[in-house]
Amino acid sequence: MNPRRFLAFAAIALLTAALPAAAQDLWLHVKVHEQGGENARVTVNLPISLIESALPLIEGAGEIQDGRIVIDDTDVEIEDLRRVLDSLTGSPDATFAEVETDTERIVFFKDGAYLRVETDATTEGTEIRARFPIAMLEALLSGPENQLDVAAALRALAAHGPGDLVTVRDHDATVRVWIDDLPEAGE
Amino acid sequence: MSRTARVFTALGLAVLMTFLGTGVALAATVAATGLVTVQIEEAGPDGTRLLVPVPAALLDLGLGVATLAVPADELRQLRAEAAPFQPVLAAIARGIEECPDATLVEVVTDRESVRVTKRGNTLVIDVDAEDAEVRVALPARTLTRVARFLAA
Repeated sequence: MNPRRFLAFAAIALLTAALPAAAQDLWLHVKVHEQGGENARVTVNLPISLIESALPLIEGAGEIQDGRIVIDDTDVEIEDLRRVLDSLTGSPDATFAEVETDTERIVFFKDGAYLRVETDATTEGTEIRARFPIAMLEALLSGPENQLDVAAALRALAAHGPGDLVTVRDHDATVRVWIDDLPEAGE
Repeated sequence: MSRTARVFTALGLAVLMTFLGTGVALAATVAATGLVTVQIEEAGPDGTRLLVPVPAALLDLGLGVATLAVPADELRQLRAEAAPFQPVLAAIARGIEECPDATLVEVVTDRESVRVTKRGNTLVIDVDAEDAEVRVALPARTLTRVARFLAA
């Protein structure tokens, strides 16, 4: 076979194979296991596109308009957050803040495409791991004026791909929030 | 065969065909549009046990009749009130219709459980409490139809 034709066929085959994967919907999963009380177990598995569709429904419930959260609290200026994020994303991987006491440890650091927060409270046995894609945070802060653009953040999250977002473990409950391409939540 | 026997045979065949035809038509309707079922089982010996299976086509018919039976002003008002949410409802309905099989939401405690699952073309809502079990199953397309009705 002519090598050029072979390459063209190979390229078409690769594109055809990649298209369904690209179009495949990602799912947001939330799992909460309560220890004690009523031993509640909550599982939420929702396609991100479905969450995005439902965002305007929350509009009447609070400060959300067209998928954007309006922040009225003057203590938190979105513009300030934008400036902080810009400076963080422009810097190399580093630990930006670390607080350590006898009972608690909090670390805030940049790890590649993520901003991460880790806390360990030894007395309560609480352990929090949060990992936010920087692209998602940028999209979240991309709303006009003092608004958080949740819809844009969801789209950025979907574009970023699968991964853990938040895990919380303590005596009372474990919580895991993550994204993958599976409809049913695994462990 | 006598004339009387022929008449009875013809009548019998007509009745049989009517029953068969109705059954086949009903089965075809259910197969094409799905079935909405509501099942309620209350606890205790005197608890209510209820199973209501309704072809989804009847709901479509109901929505169609509603446009004729409900006064135009009230229908206009209903649609005007639903208008801000209609595109969102339509998008959610389409999203549920298109999403693969999954347990969308599940809450289980020691005393009760709630599950919303998508299985095939059906959305199933299961509530299992101490005093009653409720199960509602409806074709995912029904939600889209309701959204369309609100938009019309």
